[in-house]
Amino acid sequence: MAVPGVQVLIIMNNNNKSSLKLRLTIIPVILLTMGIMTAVLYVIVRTILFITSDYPLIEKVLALALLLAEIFLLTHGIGYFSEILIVAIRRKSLSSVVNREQPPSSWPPIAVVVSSYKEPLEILEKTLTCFYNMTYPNKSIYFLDDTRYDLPGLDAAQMAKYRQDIDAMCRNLGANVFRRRWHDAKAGMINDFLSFLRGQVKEGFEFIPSGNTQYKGQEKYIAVFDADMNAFPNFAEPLVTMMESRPKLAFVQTPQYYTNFEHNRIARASGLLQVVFYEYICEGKDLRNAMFCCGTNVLFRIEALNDVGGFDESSVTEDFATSLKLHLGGWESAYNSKPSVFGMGPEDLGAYFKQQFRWALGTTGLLCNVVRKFLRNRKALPLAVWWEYLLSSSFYLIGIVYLIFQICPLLFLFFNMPSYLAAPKVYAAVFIPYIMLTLSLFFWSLGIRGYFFSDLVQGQLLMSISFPVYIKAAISGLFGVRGKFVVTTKGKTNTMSLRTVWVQIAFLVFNFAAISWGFNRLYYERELVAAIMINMFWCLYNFLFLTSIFYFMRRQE
Amino acid sequence: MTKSELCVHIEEALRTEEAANIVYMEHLTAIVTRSGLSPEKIKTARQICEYLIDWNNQHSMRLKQLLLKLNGESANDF
Repeated sequence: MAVPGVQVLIIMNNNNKSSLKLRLTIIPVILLTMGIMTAVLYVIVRTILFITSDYPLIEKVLALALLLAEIFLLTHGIGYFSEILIVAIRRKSLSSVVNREQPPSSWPPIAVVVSSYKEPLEILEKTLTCFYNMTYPNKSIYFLDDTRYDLPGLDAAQMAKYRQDIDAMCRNLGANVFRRRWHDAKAGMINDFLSFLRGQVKEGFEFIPSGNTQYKGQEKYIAVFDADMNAFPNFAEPLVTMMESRPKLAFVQTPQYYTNFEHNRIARASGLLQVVFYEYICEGKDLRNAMFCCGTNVLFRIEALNDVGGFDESSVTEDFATSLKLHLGGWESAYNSKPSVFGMGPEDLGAYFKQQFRWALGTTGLLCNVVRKFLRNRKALPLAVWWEYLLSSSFYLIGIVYLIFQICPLLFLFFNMPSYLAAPKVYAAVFIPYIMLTLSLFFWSLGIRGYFFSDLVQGQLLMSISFPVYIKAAISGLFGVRGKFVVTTKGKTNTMSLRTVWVQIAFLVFNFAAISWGFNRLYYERELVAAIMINMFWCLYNFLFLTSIFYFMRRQE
Repeated sequence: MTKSELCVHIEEALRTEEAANIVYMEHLTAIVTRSGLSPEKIKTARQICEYLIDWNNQHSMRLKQLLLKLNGESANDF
């Protein structure tokens, strides 16, 4: 994946800045507006056709499901293009921006923390080494050891050895160790640590002052990292500068870039999927004061966290839930697009599905909460911020949308329903302009940031084969299943059995059968030729996307 | 310089330049491939990164050996 910060440096070094920097011209704004307009037009035409057509009940239900799926996709598409539009209009440029605010006269103390649950020592050592080498002058490093040494069935000697190794490593790398009586994973751990900083010592706390304790309790900010995230030396200064110049700023989020993409296709594809989010979406959210925290590579104002009662412990995506609490509490948020933290993405499909399940479960679980809060107190936040929260919390319903898109062409080819699909002229008139323009805009906008078509497709492939995971997570989230915090496996790969991806395989077979049946219908029926061909095309499209499961399942050392 | 002072300096060098540079270089080696530079420049940049990683590893090993040797020494002044 391309890294904007590095690109900016290279561009500046090559004295070739103007060649890549796209100044605001009328063309991008017109194109983006047209993209949004064609999407809206398509929805209107589809809705009118649905309302005016006379279908049998079963077809009505299916047609409604398809219409809703399309509206969902278009709403998110419009959301995406509106983010680009707002970046283009407000920044007068679509290229990456480097913050140039003046640093404060003195640097307030900060706590740099990593919460770890039984993470491998070699990964932690790199993370703590990077903390140690941060150039920020007044920092205290805290290792929040969330490993459960008391769980039954564990090898006591092995766990004692692990604990000793952790303590020795922290001693060597100047990190204070903090332990507590376990509850509520990462959110609970950080909340307990914040209590500890406030001087509220609870039963079961353990503190080993093996690092700098000069500022203990005086820290103004807390930098939170995942165990596998390696911060570069200048991580904190630009963020503290932003915080100091904006007293209502609760947190500044920075991007998360994976660098294990070279030899691992899952890490590569998931990283490429992330860039879609960390480029324009985050920048747009930042400009609307609607950026939410992503759990790692973030600097919080401790006062703001204390003000809203700390991290939200009711969700597995405590970062997202806490962001909403902060915004509702009148605090602001920001995004700094300069990448200064690099880490490892999931390296096999199992780890990726686990990560995606947790993210999808957490954010979809908060959808009802967001809607409830919006209905109860709409004026608590500007409409643009509610819109952003609704988009983000509903995004993982995409799995259900994929399922509907898979089922509809199959039903048409096998059972000739819903007949709603058999309107090729309407498709040609409104769907083709819409799809061509929106896809071109998507790839063009990311192309400006240095991402190639072939790269982005990999990310989209990975997302599309994850649809059963998203469906399971979305249903669980909507029904209030809380789920457990599961650490994403790092540094090793495991092969998935075909049984675990039976849904994808089943749809692969159905699509293949449907294409074959479509040829059969074309040859013998000689009716509805255009409609059959359109649906065969979608089956082929789905089939090709699903075949990527074999590419992603291949074991890599 | 006393033995303990020397050990402190060596340990500090291990924590800073040697270990940290290896971590940074590992990430930079990957990042540079996606930087948009020409293939020749990417190749050169990667070679430099790999060279630095190699040298840092060697430094790190030597410093660790030196620490072991120092701990075994009876002399206190260096």
